[in-house]
Amino acid sequence: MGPGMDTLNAQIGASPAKTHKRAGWRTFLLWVLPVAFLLYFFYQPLAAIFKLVFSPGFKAGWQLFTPAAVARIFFFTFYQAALSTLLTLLVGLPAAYVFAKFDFPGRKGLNLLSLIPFILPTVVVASAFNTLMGPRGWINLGIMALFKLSDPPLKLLNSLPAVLLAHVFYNSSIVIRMVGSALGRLNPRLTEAARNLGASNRQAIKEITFPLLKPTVIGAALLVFLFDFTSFGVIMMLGGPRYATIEVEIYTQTMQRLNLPVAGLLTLIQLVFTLLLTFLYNRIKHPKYGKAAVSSEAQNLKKPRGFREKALIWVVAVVIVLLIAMPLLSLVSRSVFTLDAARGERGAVSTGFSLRYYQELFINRTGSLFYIPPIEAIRNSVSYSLATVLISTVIGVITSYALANPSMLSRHLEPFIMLPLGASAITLGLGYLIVFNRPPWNNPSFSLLIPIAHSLVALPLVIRVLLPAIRGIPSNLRQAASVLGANRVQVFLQVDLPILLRALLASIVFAFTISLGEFGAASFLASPLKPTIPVAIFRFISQPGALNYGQALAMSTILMLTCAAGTVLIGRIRLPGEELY
Amino acid sequence: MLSLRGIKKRYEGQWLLNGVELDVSEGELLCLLGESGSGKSTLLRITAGLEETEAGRVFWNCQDITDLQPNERCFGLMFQDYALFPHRTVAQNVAFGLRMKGLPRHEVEQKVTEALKTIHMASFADRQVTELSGGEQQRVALARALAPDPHLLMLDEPLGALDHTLRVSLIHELRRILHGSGKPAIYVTHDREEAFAIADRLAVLHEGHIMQTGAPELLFKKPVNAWLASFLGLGNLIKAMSAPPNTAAVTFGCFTFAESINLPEKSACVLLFRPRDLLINAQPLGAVNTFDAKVIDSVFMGDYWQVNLRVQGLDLEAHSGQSHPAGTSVTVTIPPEKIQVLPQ
Repeated sequence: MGPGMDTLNAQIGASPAKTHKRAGWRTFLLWVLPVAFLLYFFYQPLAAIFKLVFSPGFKAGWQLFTPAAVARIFFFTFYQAALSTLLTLLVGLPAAYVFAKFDFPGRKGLNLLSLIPFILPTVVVASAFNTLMGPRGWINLGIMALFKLSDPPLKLLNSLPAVLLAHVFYNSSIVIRMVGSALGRLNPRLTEAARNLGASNRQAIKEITFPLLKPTVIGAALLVFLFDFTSFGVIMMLGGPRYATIEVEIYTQTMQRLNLPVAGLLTLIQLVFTLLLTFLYNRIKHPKYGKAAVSSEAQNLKKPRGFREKALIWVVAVVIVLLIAMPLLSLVSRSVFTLDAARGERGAVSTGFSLRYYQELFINRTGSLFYIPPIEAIRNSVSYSLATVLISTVIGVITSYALANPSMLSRHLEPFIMLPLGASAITLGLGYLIVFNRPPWNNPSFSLLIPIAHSLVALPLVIRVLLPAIRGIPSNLRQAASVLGANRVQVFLQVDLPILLRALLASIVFAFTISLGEFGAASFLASPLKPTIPVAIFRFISQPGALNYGQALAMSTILMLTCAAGTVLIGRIRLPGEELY
Repeated sequence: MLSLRGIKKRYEGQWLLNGVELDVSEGELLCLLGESGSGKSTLLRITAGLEETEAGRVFWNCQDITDLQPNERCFGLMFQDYALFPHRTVAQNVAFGLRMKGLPRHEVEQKVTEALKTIHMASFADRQVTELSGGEQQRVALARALAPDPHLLMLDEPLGALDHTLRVSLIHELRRILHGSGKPAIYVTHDREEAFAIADRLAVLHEGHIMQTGAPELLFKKPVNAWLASFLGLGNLIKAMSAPPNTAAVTFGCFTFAESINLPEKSACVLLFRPRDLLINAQPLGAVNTFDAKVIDSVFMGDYWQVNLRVQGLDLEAHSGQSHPAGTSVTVTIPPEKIQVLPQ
């Protein structure tokens, strides 16, 4: 499986009866690779960004960028994130309540639909909204056809509402999932007890349900805020130049202005703020009475009764369909409809249903040096994703075993491991550009930096899937196996591996889909000749010409279906008691 | 007083409650006994208004309260898992019902202190309920249910979640508090000894309706049928064929009893032989009701020996003042007045 396997086998075979000295030595060995990996690929770039900010060149950077501009960008980032979070809660909370409490026809399908957005890459979401609201989207096309206009009348893109809408689309699934599951597991006896003690329905909600759910709601809101605050792809593609957030500004300063010191400063501001939010999130997430409020019974869904309950379900259903199904359907339908002529094509173009955009993915039509046929981007992405799977699985398995092993060393190293998990892909991208701008790292034909950055992005999820599975293996199973004569390797192969197989498979699918859809780091690191799918979509969708647009949509659709398939697969794998947040 | 009339409820298509009739009088402690899954808790929940009945009505003092909300009934319910509010302290839990009644703060505080004193937990007022042991939680739940002074108290397996030693010590305290409160109460349990220890009156719920109700002594002495005798663990139940007026045939002989039975000739019935009524190697009273059996083993139980017997493939239990060696043959006698004949 990888270079770390030997130490891993040594570790898991260690029986508790062995002396502390040897166990300590094994734990130490287990930590070597993850720590080295993080030091080199996370802390080194981070240090380089620090150094850059406080370097002499920084003054020159400031002349092009004032503190007032930094403050303005920070406040806009904060403002749009707060507004997005508020709207997300507004959509998510009623939906969570409806899914957790009521049984109605279509509940399962609607619930599934509401959870889809979370797994979609940002470029897919942005493309989907583009096909709905963009100048070449259905809404504008419809109005143009209706009133025989030659230009798109509505400028819905490059606006704050477009960004907010995409954020709500994206994150309401987090609220629905977190709050819905907490609500579904809330012991129904508690509100019944309150009712029995004389509380009206409203008083029971105010006195019991709401206080017990508050930590979950705040936790979900913080997480949504964190995602909105660090949102990059959505804002790049739907916000436009007027709506620069910190992440977008880091990209602009780096890639367009080449003002690395200012980009570095913005990165530090962003890092400090996200760490603060992550810290808050982890503090709030675990209320001490959590267990007592949870019921082990299957949740008891009731049929809606009365006008108010039925109306609530209808409103939620309509909002979810409009908000989530419509953009996705719009993307798929627009990708199979040819409506106007491609650039360079003359005369009448047959309009209507066609798979032309998909066929064109394989053809290099322009023949220009910097034009890359989409099939190339797909090939690049798949190889980067496979490399990501390899790296993240090896590092993830070793780190999880190290974390699962309770020792002083693990306790001290845990924050060190968890810190990178709060960092954004943009931070990684900038840091890598500074540190690894030299051979062999800047090899244009295959940049190892992309899978490494993707692995760091995927690592939190990989560890969150693997760690509970490893902790869940009863140590007496291993002891029984060794008493029955199995050596350390055999214990791992016969006991650990079969139990971990499902978790391992799930983490592999996670790593693959995350890498396939990742946009932020790739937009910094992918060489112009070797774009990934999301980078290519971003490039194609902003170019003129129906063909470019269509190909971007075709790629987005393929990406969407791949991610959806991955999620279905993970759902099938089904890990017991697993919580992904 | 409480009257349940024709209560019906389906569970997964089957009738769980099929026309239950039950009354609880002033100051009475009624014990609702039944196997797990017999619908005892559902009946409580319908009485409390937490579930709706599919047919029938609930009356309190002759007023129909079937359609009243749970908070409008003023019935206390103590849940099996206690359902203490985990985000509230002990005192806040007990105060909840008083606050909902809209009592002024000082009165709430005073009543909470009183309630905690009753259960000997005055010093626990500011503790989190999640820090309490099972027995302490049980007492807080009881105090919380009693504090708002409900018309009727319902307890759903209040000792079910506790271990045996704790149950034994708590049952007497529970009895003291419940009788001391003077309130009518319904106590749900599946444990026969618990029911006998606490009840003024027993009601046994089986197959959707109340099979028998009466004082514990009545049910013990005169169970209405074989199922009830078996459920109450009254002794050996032997299938028999009636031969009126006062005999019945079993596989190992014919038995005569003191009372004449009201059964047609050759109908199936069940004979109840209580273990302490089976006399081993006692002087036979004539030749009536005597049979030979083999001793399987004798187990010392403290006050008596439990002698396990086998007669023609049938296992019987007898209580004896002395041990009988395993493998020996003995003569067993049962006096005619000790045999009970039960319908199947």
